[in-house]
Amino acid sequence: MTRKVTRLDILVRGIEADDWEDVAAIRESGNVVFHTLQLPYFSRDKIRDRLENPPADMVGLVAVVGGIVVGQLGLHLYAGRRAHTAALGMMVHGDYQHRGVGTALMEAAVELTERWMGITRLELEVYTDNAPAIALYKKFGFEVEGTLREYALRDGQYVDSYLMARVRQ
Amino acid sequence: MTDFPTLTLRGLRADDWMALQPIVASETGLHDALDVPYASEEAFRERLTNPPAGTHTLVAELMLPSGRERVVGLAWLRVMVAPRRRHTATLQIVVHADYRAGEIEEAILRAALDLTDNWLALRRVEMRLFADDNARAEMLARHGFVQEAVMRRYAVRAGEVVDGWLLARLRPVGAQAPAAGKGGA
Repeated sequence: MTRKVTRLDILVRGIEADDWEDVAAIRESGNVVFHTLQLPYFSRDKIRDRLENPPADMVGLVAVVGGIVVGQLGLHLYAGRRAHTAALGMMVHGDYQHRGVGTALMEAAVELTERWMGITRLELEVYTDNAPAIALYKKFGFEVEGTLREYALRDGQYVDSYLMARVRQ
Repeated sequence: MTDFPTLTLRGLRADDWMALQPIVASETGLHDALDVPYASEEAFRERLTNPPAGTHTLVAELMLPSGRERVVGLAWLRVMVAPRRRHTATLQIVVHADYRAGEIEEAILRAALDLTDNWLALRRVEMRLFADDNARAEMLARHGFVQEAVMRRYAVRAGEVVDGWLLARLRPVGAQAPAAGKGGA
């Protein structure tokens, strides 16, 4: 049995308030809740409110396929003595995983932060058993800096995360 | 009256900011934490007295043999807001240069861990240090902290970008456990 992988035509752009319904659909899809810090039974109103009133220290990117937002990447910009650092989080719709959406978002995030914002440390946390995500981050030069024990509660169990970072001089 | 200073750990009082601001803004304070020089006193007062929800502030005060009280340090414990991380808090301790990594800092740490273990029932406490802070790392190791990560290029300190250590302590097995939910692992 082989898996058919169709190359997608992916557009990456900044997130807009109007994207909130597609973003809610991403969170409802596949195992997105499982692999992130999102909660089940989340409020769609809260997602809309967050996209309509984005915090000043956040930058959001989305990946669009056929007019639908199928991936979201958020960057949290640190301030003061950590202003060279940004934290990254992303999620891809369950029906569009393993088809280059994450790669397109990561390419844009690295270009934006390093070539336009002078970020020299990009960091993220990922559950230690999320092999596809870890492989994607390693492809972009992220290295595991350590294991954070009992990092988060996931479906009744406290599970570990890796702290990963991509560092430029 | 005792001949030795006695230490009290207590909650925050409205006027503590006046004694704590010079400690945080001192050379030692800037070396150990992430504050910047030339910060506004008003901003510090605001940060201390109107902290984010889930912040617990402990203040260490010495009663000197003369009968004078002296505020010498503080601990900030911040419980994570993210619902799936509510079992975790980050801890930050700042002490006056005279008492750094000594008994007083250890007493502050002990009080903070009494709070996390026995009153908040948190499973995980995190601390971030600069990666050359061996004295403090040794003290934390005595209290069950384990180094989990080396964070490269963690933060700027006096003209250099310095690595950081992430240390964490999981709640000891002996601590009073909260009632287990049915069907737990």
